[in-house]
Amino acid sequence: MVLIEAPVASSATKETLFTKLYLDVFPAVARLVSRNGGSLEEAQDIFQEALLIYYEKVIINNFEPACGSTAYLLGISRNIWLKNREKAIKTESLDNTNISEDAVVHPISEKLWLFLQGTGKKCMDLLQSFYYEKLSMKELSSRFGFRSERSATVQKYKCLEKVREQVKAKSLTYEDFLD
Amino acid sequence: MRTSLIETQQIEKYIQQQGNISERLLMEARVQVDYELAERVAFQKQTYRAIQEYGRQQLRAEIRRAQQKVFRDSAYKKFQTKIRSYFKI
Repeated sequence: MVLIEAPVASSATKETLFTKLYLDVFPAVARLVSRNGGSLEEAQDIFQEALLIYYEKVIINNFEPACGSTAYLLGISRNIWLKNREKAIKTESLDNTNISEDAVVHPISEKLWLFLQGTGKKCMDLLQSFYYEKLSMKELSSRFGFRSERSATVQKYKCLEKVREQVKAKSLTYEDFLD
Repeated sequence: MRTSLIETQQIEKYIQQQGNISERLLMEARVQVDYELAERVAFQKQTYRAIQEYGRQQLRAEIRRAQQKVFRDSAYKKFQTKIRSYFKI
């Protein structure tokens, strides 16, 4: 069912995979949402989130769903949709004291984020390939053109150190308390 | 590798609870007495979280690109018509 070999997915193969999943699975998600009075945008948001979870579980962590990939992705979408609906009902009720989960999980300041996506991008691309996408050192070397796994390892730690110093420099500054 | 990189690697092993027990105990003891090292450990933990978040953002962007393609590209007209028919009143 899945077209690519996990976990070495280049941008092109990822696009092929996501495109195929949109064509194969999104219609069922759209129908579920529309039948329950939801909008196309809602269905798209749900499916984006479902694809992210699917990718992390199946491609990055090599999870093999017993029900097959399509049914699994559909299941994730359905769960997100149910969760969203529950949230909406809670928000409508008088008890509005729940802190949203999203507000808690974001410890990164705006300034740090700008650095990570700007001058730190090269390092972040390398680091996320290893720590998030879980590529092996061999795969990392070939993706980023290192001569050897050893030089890839050295560069990885150099980057880790560089980003860590930025995390330090850009956290807990006085301005953060004013944001 | 230069000394600081070796330390960065040691911190990583400590955070990920790798290595043998004596290495871990030694690091634990160093962290207890060396405030700056403890700080580096804390910031390295935050760095891993930032990397996870960054990885997710990159993936989200790629998912959005695929979505734009199937909803805008004329090659997927049939798909677009089918989906829109579900949302007509």
